Amino acid sequence: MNDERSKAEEHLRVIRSLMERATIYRAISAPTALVAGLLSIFAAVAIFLNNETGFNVGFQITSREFAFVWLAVLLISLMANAFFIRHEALRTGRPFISPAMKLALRAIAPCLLIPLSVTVWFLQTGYLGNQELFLVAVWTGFYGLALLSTNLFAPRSLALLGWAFLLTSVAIPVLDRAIETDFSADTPDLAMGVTFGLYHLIYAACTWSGTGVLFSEKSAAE
Amino acid sequence: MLNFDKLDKAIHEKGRLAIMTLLAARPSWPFQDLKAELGMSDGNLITHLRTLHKLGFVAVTKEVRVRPHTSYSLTAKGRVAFKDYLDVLDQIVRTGKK
Repeated sequence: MNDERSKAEEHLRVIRSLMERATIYRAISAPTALVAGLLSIFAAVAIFLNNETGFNVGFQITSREFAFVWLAVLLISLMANAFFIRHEALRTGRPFISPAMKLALRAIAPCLLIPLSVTVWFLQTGYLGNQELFLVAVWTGFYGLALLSTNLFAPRSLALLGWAFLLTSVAIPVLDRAIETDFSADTPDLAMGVTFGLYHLIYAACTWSGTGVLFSEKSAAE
Repeated sequence: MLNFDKLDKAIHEKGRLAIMTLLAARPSWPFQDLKAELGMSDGNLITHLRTLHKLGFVAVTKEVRVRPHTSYSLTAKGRVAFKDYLDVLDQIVRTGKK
């Protein structure tokens, strides 16, 4: 009797795990978030020190360089993400480009078109008008939308991260006008540090397996 | 009394149970995605899918886009059979706990 019960429990566990694998996909793993968060904090601090103190990173960070620095952070974070996904795929014997990953990429891709075109515009002519804050608002807003586009099959933590980015993007222009400080010129840099740095670090801390999950990980589809 | 004999043998087989579970999780699965997710060989997967199709549990959709594209989904009968299967497993667990 107990043997049948434990067999049945085992079957239900396997079914549950398969269903979760098919319905829940975490587009950003905790290690990726940690790397992206640390890199962003490092980049934000370096730019801030370069602008406000005698500390110099070796070259002048003007509007265009600002974009290049953050694109470099993005590139390294994407490479780290690919590395961690590949490592996990090898560990579990699953394909690198899994069906769930394809589903996530299909959902995310449309949200990246506008930030892509705005970035190209910024690098061509937009930087002449010191439009960094506009660029940051677009990046954070559409990054948030991209995360939210996976809402149907993403864990709740990822949707919360998406909302944090989206709401911050909405608040950035409003707060920038409302709060005039000595560091107003650094608002774009500080906003990038807070969002891509701090938010990612908080997300990594909350979702890191083994350290305990701070909020329940239930798919919105459930 | 409920026991494993009450379970649908067609679904209870390990490979077919995995297929039914994935089909229950999403509306439709392309063949290649099913294969990648389950790590089965083409022949093995086709055999299981044929068995489930013959039983009326699985529907097959064939489309010709750039290349032939076959996708699989659960029929209403298959969904009921899968739910019944889960109910029996659940009952076995509950009975054992009493």
